[in-house]
Amino acid sequence: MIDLLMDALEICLQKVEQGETVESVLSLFPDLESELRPVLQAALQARTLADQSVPAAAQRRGRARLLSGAAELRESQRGLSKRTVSFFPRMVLALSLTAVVVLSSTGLVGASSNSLPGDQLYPVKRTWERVQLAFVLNQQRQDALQSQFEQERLNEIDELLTTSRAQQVTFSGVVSKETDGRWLISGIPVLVTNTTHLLSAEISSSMPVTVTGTTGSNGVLEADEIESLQPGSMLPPLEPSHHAGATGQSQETTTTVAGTLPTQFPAMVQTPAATPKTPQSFTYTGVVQGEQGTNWTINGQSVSVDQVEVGGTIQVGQVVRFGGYYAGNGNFIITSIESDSQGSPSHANGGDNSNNGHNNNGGGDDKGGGHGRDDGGGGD
Amino acid sequence: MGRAIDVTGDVILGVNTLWMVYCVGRGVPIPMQNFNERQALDGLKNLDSQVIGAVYDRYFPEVYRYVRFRLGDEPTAEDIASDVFVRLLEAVQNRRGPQTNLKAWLLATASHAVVDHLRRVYRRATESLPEDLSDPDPAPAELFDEREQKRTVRQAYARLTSDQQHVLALRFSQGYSLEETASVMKKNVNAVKALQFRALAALQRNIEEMNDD
Repeated sequence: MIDLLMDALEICLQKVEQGETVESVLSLFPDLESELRPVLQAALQARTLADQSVPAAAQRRGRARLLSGAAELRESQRGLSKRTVSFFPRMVLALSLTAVVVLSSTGLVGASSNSLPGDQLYPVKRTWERVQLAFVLNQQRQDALQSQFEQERLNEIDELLTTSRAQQVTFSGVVSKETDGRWLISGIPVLVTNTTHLLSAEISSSMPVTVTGTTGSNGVLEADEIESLQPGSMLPPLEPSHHAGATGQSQETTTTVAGTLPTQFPAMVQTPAATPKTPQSFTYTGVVQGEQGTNWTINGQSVSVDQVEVGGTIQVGQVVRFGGYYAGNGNFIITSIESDSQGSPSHANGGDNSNNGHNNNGGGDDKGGGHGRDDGGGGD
Repeated sequence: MGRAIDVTGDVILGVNTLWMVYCVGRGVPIPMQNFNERQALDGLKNLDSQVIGAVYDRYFPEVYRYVRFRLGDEPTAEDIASDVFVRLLEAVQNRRGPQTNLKAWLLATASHAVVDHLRRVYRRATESLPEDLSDPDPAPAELFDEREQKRTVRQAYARLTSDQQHVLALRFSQGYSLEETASVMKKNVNAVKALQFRALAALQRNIEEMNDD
């Protein structure tokens, strides 16, 4: 009965929808009229609530709102994508590259530390030096580092000459001796010939210069160009203690300067005990110019002798021999000092390494053990 | 050319993927006769503006009419109808959107939105249904009687259960067949018949009660 009533209602609704009157459709179901009539009337009443029109403005506004929402979703997805998809791979990639660079560069730098000009790893060594300089902001430390690198150039040339390797090099140093076309520049024997371009009008002893030349098999660097340096240029703090030529003949290693021009630590004499392979410990001779308690002045350089082993009685004006090392800030730290009243080359030439053994980090395997020395001011 | 029939029984002629791609790629609005729900859902996932616009244009009138039938208030119907489409986008992005029957999902969501709206309205005692507001425009007696009657029907309709309101809105605001209504309501046809009958009977009772008052 109920199913019949609902089916009859559906038929009536469809016919009313098609335009027939309520009475005509109810006449189709006379037995159900009493039940159908109120329901059908209610359906007609419900139809009055319907409005088929859709305001165009409302639709436009809704469309704009929807598309705006879609744009926001797109933006948020892009941001999310960047964070979740791009950020992590980028981070991983960056970390990986950093690790590779650090690990490989550490190995490369280590391997390149002993390389010489002409070696495959030599550019790595020089690049690493530039990187170190770039990351040192303190001017004093930077100067000390640069001076150390200049010293390394001398060591490299010394090694090239020792091994008789022909290689074009450039280095800076101070002319300390000129004899018949054979100059000594920061301990490097340099051959100056007619083909050597002297780019400065007058180059004389004690003048800081930059030398470009080729190391030769005769233990001498043949200069192609020599140019005087401007004040303020960096020079190696120390010169190589010696150079043993291919002929086995000893070369004198004499005066040198240290630091930035104009020099602040002049007239130091480096004994043969200090080898270029062990730059951490050095021994010098100099003249004590003043004493104020534990603060002494040696060759114009103020040094502290507090907690320093002093051998014998030392007075102002006396020649002393002292050992020590360069601190990270470039300052020379004295660890021992003793009278060197003889002050003569023959005395120092004795290469009394046993006395200085504690200062040169075992540099007793002095290749030029019989080298003489001059005081820096006088030259020969 | 393929033929596709959506679950509501609409015959969609000329569904052609290449044509859809061409339309979207060239910025040409998708022709209504070529509308395909599967592709539309894919476009919604991709937040394709062309597809979003096509879906909106196709279904907004139905959603709007449905909501307005339920509430009798045009501004609110506009807000809720447009909000339904925003919810659609969000749901599709969150993989909670419709899988097949887009229209059913939209109307069901519209129904939930209406219920939520009414719940908020009832919670605020100071707010009354729009039909209860006095008409600010003076009208002839015939128009006044008509409006009064309509207001009575509206109030009687508002007293129905949500399902009863839902079925009457689908049948009388959209002109959906029993089968379409059953598809949207996810019920079988007989259940819809019974629900509709009870809804109309209750509506008539409510109207009589209100007229007696």
